[in-house]
Amino acid sequence: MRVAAYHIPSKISGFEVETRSYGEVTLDLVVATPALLAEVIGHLEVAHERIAKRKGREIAELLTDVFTRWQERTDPFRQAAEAALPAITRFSQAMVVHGLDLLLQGYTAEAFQALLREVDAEENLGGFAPLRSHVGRAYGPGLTTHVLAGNIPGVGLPGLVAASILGSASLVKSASSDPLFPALWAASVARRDPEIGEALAVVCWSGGRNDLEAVAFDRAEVVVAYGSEQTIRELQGRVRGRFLGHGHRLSFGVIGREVLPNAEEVAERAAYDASLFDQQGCLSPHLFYVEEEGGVTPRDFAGLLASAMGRWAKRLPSGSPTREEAVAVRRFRAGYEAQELAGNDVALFMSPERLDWTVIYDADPTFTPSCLQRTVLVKPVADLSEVSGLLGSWRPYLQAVGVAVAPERLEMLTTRLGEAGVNRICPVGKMQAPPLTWHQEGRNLFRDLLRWVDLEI
Amino acid sequence: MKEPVVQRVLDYIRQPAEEEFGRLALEVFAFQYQHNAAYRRFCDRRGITPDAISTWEEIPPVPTSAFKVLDLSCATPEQVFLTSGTSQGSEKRGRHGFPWLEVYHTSLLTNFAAHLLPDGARPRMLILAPSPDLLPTSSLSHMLEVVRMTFGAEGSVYFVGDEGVDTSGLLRTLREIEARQEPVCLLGTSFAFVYLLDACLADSSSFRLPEGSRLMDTGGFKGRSRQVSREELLRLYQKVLAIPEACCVNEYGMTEMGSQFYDNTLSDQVLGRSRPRFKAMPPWVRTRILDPATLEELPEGEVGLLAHYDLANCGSVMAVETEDLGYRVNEGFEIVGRAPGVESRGCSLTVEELQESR
Repeated sequence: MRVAAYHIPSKISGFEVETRSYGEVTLDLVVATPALLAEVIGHLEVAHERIAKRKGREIAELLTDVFTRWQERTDPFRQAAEAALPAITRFSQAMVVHGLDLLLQGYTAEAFQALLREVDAEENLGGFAPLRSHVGRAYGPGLTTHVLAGNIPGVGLPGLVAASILGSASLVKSASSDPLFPALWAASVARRDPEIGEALAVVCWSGGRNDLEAVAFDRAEVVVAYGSEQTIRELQGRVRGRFLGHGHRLSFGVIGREVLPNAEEVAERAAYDASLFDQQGCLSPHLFYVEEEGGVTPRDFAGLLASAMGRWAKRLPSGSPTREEAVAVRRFRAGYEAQELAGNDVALFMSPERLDWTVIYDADPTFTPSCLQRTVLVKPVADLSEVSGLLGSWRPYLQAVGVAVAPERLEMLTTRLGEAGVNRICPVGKMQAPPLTWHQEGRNLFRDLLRWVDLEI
Repeated sequence: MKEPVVQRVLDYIRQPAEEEFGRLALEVFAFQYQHNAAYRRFCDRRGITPDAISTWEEIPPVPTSAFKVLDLSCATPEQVFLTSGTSQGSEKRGRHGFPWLEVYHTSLLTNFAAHLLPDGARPRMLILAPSPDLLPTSSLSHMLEVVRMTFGAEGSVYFVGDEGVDTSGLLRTLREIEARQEPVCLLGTSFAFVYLLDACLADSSSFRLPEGSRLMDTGGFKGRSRQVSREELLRLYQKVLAIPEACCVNEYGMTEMGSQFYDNTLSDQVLGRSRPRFKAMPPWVRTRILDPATLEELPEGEVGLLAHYDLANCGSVMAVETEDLGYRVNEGFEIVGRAPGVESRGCSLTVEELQESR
């Protein structure tokens, strides 16, 4: 199959298209040039003038429609995504289908309403209106440039959605590891509302092309960027406007002794969190701290987790790792196997063939990031209150914690985890389905996009 | 005391009868299974015993990282070498004990002579690596010293001291050698060569080293010098030292192995053969290219994980699974480095990324 993996304003013509093949799937990509990007931005700025006049609530409603259509398996955009993404992203077909469902279910009418309530969007976006202390008005950006990374479908979508609701035009640099999904999404928006579609552009180029990025960043009021720490640091220095950088992050889980009578069920949910998207997401747990003296030992819990990982690998098969990823898993496994053979308090559980999944029990409670590709560590703690003390130097990288504890222990645990730097605490089994209003990296993206004008007369 | 199987390995290295490789490998495996408790546990876990297999390809290779944790010696070592420990200072270093240095020395000298001295030359050796006095646990230093003592002409010396590479001393010596038109053999780490080349480039000096001069470089850069591609290195060796490409031989070795691999170029030139550059396998080593996801052997030309079956490792584990990627070329292989700056697929932090950013 052949799909267009770009979206540019309809009035632009005469640009060059190149193809990139992934087995049976061929993508058409726009050849980005500084001149083309400048032309695109010119059109986006005009489109912004039009959509900035529209109400945020109205745009939110039609975006809800867009997402509703995506939930239908017969929708042509949905079908294109399902057919092409496995080849492009290396996720299995089942994972792509499940992942899309999971992603789309978050964009409901209620979620959009909640997002709008985050600011008094109705009031302050339409004109100057009273705030708590004085009178002010909020403006969305004229142009927001989004630098996407990675291939978890939907990473970066909240920023795009928020920008659109605020009347901003968006230029998206899609990731080389998935140029397609953002382009399909933009095209699906254009189908529902051509005017908003004209305010979206999706182009893919290799990161680090300074000639292109100078153009893409120069006129952007805000640049939202996802990427490795190195990429974020590097981009930050080249952005003149506001820069909202999202570096790679890591997540983990905490399991209290009181839930261990249901250890199998907890393990099932933990395995789901770690299996989704082959653990590539910033919300994918790297390890689970399991409290001792809960009837099931942390070591036995690791065994239950391993069985559950095996079951999830049947329902949502692992994708195909790259060579480098496979080597990293082998190295990780080998290190722990050697420790086990040396008689250390370590146990290695792994898929019998291939590198589908790995569970490692390690009595050393030091926080250890995993090599990913469904590789999870289980570490014991005598008491949950110890966990926050083990996170030390990882603080700047922490994202979500999946928690399975009795309600009466939640306050103690969440206070400590909050202080330790995490930004989302959720149930085990729900780690990969954050609400649209999630304060990713402790911030409010919606508010971060706004520019306020105060009126003191 | 030398075991009979060790004597047979020695005999084989000295006079290889390649059709015997498989049988001897299985014999070495049986010996190691019996005398190496950690390796036995490793094999048992995989349900593999000497009785259960009939071809050398079935011998389970031990990942190099196991050397960091396990004692893999089959007998009391005469000498133990440690891996250099990469940029991560906290990580444990691998340990490789050699119960029979004679095997190690026979392997390294035979192979070195075949690929660096195929013309029978005995040139003066200038070594751009620390001597064993400076780095007693380094297998590379040990190897270079054995080579220097055995093959090096008078005046074969080291140019790395406590202060690092002695580039000025080296430049002086090279100038003398150039004047005397005496062929020379430069040996050392790739990053030390970069220091030398950079010192020459800085003041636009160069040498016309006489015909018959050659060099052997080895290892990566590991942040110790600027990164230089192999093509660029070969160009600079020619430009700055006047050593032609074919006489520049890259060595690939590791502490975990008793044998090394060398580029075929110099031996091919002496034998009047013309083939693309590759790492030649000595007759007592077989390298398999494995699919890292399944450990199945890959078809010709595909890039995979290198696993070496090295009879010279008879004192520890013969079959070693590396973390290096490569592909088959002629009767050898070529290494592919990790592609730099490969975009990570997801948005989760990886250990590798952290190490790169720190």
